[in-house]
Amino acid sequence: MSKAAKKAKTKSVSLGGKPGGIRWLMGHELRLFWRRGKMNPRTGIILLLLMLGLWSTFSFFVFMRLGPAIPPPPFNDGPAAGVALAVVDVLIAFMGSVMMSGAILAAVEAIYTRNDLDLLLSSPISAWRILVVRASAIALRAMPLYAGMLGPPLLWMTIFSSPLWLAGIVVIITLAFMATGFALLIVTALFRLLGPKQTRVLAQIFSAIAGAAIFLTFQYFNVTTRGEGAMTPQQTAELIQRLNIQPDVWWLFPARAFTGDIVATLMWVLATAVVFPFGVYIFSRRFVADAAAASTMGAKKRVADTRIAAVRGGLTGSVVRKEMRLLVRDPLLLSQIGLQLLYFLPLGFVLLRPDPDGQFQLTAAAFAPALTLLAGALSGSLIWVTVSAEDAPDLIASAPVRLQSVHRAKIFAAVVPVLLLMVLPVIALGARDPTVGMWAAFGVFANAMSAALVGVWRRTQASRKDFVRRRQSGSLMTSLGKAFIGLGLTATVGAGAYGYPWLALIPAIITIAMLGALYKPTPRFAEV
Amino acid sequence: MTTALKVSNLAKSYGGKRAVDGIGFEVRSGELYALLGPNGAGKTTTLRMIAGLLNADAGEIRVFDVDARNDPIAAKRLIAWLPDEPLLYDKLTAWEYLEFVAGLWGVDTAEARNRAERLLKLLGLWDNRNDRCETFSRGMKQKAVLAGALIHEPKLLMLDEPLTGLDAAASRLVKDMIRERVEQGAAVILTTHILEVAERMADRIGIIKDGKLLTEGRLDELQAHAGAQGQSLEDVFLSLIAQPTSVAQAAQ
Repeated sequence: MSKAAKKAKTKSVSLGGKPGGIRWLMGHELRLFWRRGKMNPRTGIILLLLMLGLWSTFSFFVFMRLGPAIPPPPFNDGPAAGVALAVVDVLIAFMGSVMMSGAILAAVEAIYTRNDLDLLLSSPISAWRILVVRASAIALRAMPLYAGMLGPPLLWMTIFSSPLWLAGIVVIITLAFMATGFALLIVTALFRLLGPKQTRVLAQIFSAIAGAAIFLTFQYFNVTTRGEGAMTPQQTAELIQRLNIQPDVWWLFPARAFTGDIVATLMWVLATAVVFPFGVYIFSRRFVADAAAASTMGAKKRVADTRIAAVRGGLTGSVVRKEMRLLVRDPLLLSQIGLQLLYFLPLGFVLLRPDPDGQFQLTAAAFAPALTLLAGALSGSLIWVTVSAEDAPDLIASAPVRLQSVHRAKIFAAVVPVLLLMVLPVIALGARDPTVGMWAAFGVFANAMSAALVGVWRRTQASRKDFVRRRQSGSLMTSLGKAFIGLGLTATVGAGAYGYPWLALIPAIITIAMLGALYKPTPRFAEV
Repeated sequence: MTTALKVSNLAKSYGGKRAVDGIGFEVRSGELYALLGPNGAGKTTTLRMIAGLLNADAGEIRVFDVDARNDPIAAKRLIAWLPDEPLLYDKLTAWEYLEFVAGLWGVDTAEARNRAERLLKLLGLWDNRNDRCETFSRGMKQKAVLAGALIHEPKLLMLDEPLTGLDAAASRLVKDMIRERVEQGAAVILTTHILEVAERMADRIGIIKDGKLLTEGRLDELQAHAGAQGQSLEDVFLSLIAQPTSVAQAAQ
């Protein structure tokens, strides 16, 4: 039996609980979630337990020492407690925003790609129960990362400091449900206000902003504040007095719930018990109508320019035109690619470090590696869309052209838009500092090209709708290789732009070696 | 014969466009009713409303005298719906899929296992029961979905293009299974673009266009309606929906 066939064989597992019941349906959701990845489930469990075990052991030794020194909650006395609670509040806001962004995408996906919901909703189980379970599954999927990261420390704090820390675990669990409830309300409202056409794109942007907002704010303050080392105890005390945050202010309510203020914790749980079912209720009431509207979306879509374009530019022209048309006519994909820019903002913050007078100063050299990294990321995305997510591989395979020619055209389609986008910043940089400009031009071209080449060499067949999950479709080694090449070139350009060209040789050699390792010759003709 | 399905004045609009416009028809137990129409005529929308996947704007749907719009759960217990695209869970095995569908319809576990074994053997999927559905060919997927539709022994079976993607042997097998269900007393509604299949299998045929039922009846009744006695269903159908019947006509 071949390796693939062996992998396809799975021991059929029956679900526990009464068929059609909540537990049974939830088991089904979680089984699908568990099998989603490429990893063997048993290996996954072992790896997960190993990581959790290591983290629990490490945090045990840390909190065995720290726990008794931490004052037991609740924290309700004085401005120092206020500042501590404010920090916890920000942490909760961060977790909540990331959970909500994931839930928004999941809710939108449920409307647009109904998949199994047709089967589930045609069964004699109430739509309400099905959607409650689906929404709960969305909430549960958002939880493991934070429960895994904060769970063991909170558990040891419960043992070594105060049992009231258990409230933190309760808040993490309920936070996932509250964020999902809000996400469902937001998606329903977007659908009502904007209709199906814009909701998908806007929800995508909204979720990215929701997920990134707190992270970016952190990064902004982290990078732009003066890095003058730790404050003295006296300076800290002065800051606390100056901020004068009272622990009983309303906006510290989530933090009070997290840190074991029993009344606040109960109120938090109560609020979740209202928000989550309310979100599911509103979402399920509108679900069938919204899904129907989404399914008819684009049914009457016409392309504005109906003239028959002249066949020009040969193979490259045809491929580039086709790829550009498909991309421009897919605003969702376009927005997903564009949103990558959002996560590069922290790099921009680096350039805005305040000088000792409190004025922002620009560091020209820092632009070169930033642009290099950005060019690689964008080109990598575009090559994935054009090569791996090719809608008609059979058509390409059946065409009387060499596959290398098709790939060359696709590399052109992926790299040229990136280079065009980078022309202005690189010229501006060159005008400010010609050496840095040259390093930036080299970095942008090299990283865009190498990302495109690796995308072609290590292509995997996928669908455009899997863009967000594209990294899961390839092997782990390829993903790591891509990351190393991008970072290697960025380091090369960084070292060069900061005036250490000899140092730049080290990452450059590593990058070339990585490119060599990932090289895979293209067959003369496509095989599907 | 019992009335299995009665649809009256069914209507559905999408953004001002009438997708289904006052359709009404009846299907009896032990009858195979073919619902035909050109692309976008409203066939799938009609079936989705009957299956409870879409809310109708107006009209009545009665499944074995159960008001499907007021009591969809009771109606759904009697119905199986096979969509035109076989939607399976890629990561479930064929066995797990059938077990899951049986659970959704509340089939007793032991009974579900017996039926799953029988259906998988009948459809030639028994050796693949522990394979994940992602490894299946289109035909195998179609057969697995059909097994899912039959596992709760529905009294009303709605099949949207059930023969798409099947090879000759599988197509014959599926047709035989459908016929067997009809003979056992189930009502079957079938949509297909393969008019020879409808001609050979259907007891009655309904033709819809632009969301309206143009005509319905046995083949001889349709021939009479179209003034095309002795002609094939394809000719009758094209004449009723006023489509060109030859390349020369299309060119004109």
